[in-house]
Amino acid sequence: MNPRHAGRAAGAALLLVAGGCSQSSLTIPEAPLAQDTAQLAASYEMPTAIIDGNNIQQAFTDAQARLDALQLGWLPGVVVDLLSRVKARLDAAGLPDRTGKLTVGGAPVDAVLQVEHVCSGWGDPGGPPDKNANGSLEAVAIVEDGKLSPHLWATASHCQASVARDGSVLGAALSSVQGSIDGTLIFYLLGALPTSTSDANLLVAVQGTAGVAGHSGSTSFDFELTPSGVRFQVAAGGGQATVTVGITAMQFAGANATFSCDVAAASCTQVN
Amino acid sequence: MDGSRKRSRSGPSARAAGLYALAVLTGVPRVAAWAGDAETPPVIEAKPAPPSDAPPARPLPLLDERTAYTIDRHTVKLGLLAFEFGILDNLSIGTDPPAWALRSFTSILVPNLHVKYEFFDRGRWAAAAHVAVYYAHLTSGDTSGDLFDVPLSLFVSVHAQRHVFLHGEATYVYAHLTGSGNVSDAEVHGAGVANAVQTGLVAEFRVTRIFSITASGRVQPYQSNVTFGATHMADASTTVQLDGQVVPRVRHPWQLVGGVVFLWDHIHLILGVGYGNYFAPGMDIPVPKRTIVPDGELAVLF
Repeated sequence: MNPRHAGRAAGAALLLVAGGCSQSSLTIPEAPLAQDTAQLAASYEMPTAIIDGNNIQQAFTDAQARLDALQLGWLPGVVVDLLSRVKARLDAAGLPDRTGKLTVGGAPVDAVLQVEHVCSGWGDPGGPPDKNANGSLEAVAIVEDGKLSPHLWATASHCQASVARDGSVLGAALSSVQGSIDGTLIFYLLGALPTSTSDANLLVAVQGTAGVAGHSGSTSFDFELTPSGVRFQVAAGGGQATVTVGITAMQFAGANATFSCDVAAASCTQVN
Repeated sequence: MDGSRKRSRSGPSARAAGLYALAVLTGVPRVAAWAGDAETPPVIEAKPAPPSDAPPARPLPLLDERTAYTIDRHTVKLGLLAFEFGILDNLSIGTDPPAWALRSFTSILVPNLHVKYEFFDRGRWAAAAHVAVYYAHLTSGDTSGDLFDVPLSLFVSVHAQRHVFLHGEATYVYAHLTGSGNVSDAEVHGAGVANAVQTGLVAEFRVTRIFSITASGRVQPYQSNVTFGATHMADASTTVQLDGQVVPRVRHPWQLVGGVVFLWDHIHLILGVGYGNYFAPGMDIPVPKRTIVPDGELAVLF
């Protein structure tokens, strides 16, 4: 055998082995509506509404009307429960849950974490997990360049969940504690992944079908879960005001002023 | 038993060394004086012809580190970096003591074995295949895993010119880590390469029969990302799928090393220093940081 031919043949065989066995790179899915979501989160911090004594009462009425549509009485609990499971798995895998950068030997880590959670259903007490009966939520978190992306999302498939009425503004708005959702939930982290509603700090945008007590309809809405309360936006004064929902009151932030409205008394006063 | 690999490629004998000194003193071209064969007429003719019953010229010892050459049959080579045993003239088996020695100062035991087979040897050319397997069981707290590192190498050596050997290498490194646990623990245990292709070239300039000057280069033209994945049932209602990859910080590590080699009959000594990324001997795993790269081996053959 010609030594040159032997060398070429062996070299080619080696390259074939290398090519045949090499693993493909991880495919990182693209977060849905990532740019729009980031802009939406920024708009919460920069309300454009010009609110005053003349239009605040109408804004208050509109905000109350939106509460039912926003599913705020039960959906935040479901969202936080799901994201706390994501956080637990990221922590267990040694992956960052918001801050910090994970590297291995100086090399950054990319990861895709998918958490599928079977919803609790409407049973009282709930039975064993039944995906067919109660639906599911499938969350996706991305770690890119060693850092957790603030963009997370979940697909809700006929997810049914029930929460206890708590007597707050949000609970009082409920006609039932049995909620259901089917569609896409987009999350934008404003802080670390939550472990409870009290430390949640994120934007939630929903597209799909949602409702309570079996009365659901097509919807698209967004709200923020923050340490100071649940926030959402309402049209007022030629722009958007940011509404923060407390236990017994709502606070309206506009570009020019801030009003606090007592829900029981249905009265608003300017605080800033 | 003479432990060095002996070939018909005759090198400079002691007589030739004497001729070399004479040649230097007399201004005869070095190549003619070094070889001590029929191509050095001015010097050869200055000496009486060797008697017909003179012992044959001693064969040239060959470098068997990162080359296509193997140690002789039934030769044992005990080196700092590798133990070898020559099963046949063209087949040797061995293990790397440094990998075993990790157990002395870590909890990791790395059993390893390698086989080298010189499957081609004709004229100036030789080619060999080298297969190594390293295994490590990694544990840290509740985390455990099994790491396999398998470098597959092809060496081609050519005695290109009277003084010059060229040794080419192509290596495919496959590393596989199985197990579950904390990803960041991989940093502790140093798991790195998943799939990589490396090439190397050693240029050996044989100054005397036992002494060479070497220049070597090594580069990793391809390295895959280190991928990992796991499915986990977190609780009765929650299933987790994790897929990830570590993106190498240095895609194409390389090193350039210059050195010297002494191939005495029973002792082989390699000393060198260079710059670039250090490649762990045997396992061929590169260190990301570029720095001064040492090279060395001391082996006893018997």
